[in-house]
Amino acid sequence: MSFDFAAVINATPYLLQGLLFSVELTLVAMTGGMLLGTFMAIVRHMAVPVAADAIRAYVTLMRSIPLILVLFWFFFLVPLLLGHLTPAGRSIPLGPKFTAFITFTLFESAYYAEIVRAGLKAIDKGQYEGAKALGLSSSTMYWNVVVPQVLRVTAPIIVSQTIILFQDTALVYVLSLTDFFGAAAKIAQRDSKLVEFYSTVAVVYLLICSMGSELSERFRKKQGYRPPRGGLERAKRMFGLARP
Amino acid sequence: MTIGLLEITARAEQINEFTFRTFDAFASATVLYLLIALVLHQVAFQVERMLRIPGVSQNNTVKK
Repeated sequence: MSFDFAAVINATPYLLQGLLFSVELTLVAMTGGMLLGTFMAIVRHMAVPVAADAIRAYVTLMRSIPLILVLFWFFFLVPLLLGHLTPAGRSIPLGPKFTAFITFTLFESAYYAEIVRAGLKAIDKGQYEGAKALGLSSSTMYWNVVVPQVLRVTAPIIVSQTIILFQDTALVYVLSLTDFFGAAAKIAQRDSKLVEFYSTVAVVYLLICSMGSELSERFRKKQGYRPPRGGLERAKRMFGLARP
Repeated sequence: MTIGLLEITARAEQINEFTFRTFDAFASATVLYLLIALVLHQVAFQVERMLRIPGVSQNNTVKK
């Protein structure tokens, strides 16, 4: 079996176009999802009367339905619902790209909310009590004291979730959009070069995702977190002999 | 679906292609997923309750 690199090289512009959309969607959904998710986690953590329960229901619902069906419902139902609001009653198509951005952001925000909520619970009670004792307002307490620590603690899970999100962008095929995987699959089937294209996709995904985890590790180091080095150091930390 | 195994979503797509009743097919799939997930949520909640440490506040927040 020969490996036909020329086919992959010829299709590179098309693949890059798809990759650009994947990255764009990932960045938008990550930023929007993190902001919305953090906000929802804080509301749940503060146990705001009605809002906390509404958010709980929202998170449960979003996590129960697979992304592919959420995309489907958003794409078909939201234009119909918006149409009912207008006097003419005609459905308003939002366009697949806009639907994808909105849906991914809303869907991922549910997952990010649960991650941040776990982090909020993991932070030592003394941090909350200290902030209160200093007379900080709730917003200052969360924004300047608790959330930075939460982000540091949950960074590995957030990176995992973002990698999953990046790989999930392949699902935009239901909206007949073309992401990186979709572009590769199309050309692969056209030229019947499945092995070449799927291997290229795998390598590119591997490179991007490992780059992402490497970046987050650098970021953590820059923030003063030093991962334990060597067996002795790790054992010391485990028994509380070294300062964290 | 990728390797020819028919799970709920794939079945829904098949029903959609056979009958053209798109909303019915996908609505049933959605409800099925929801039901299964709600059962799992309930199980997880029971586990959480079993493992709860008495006297420790669940939210870690300062009581007013």
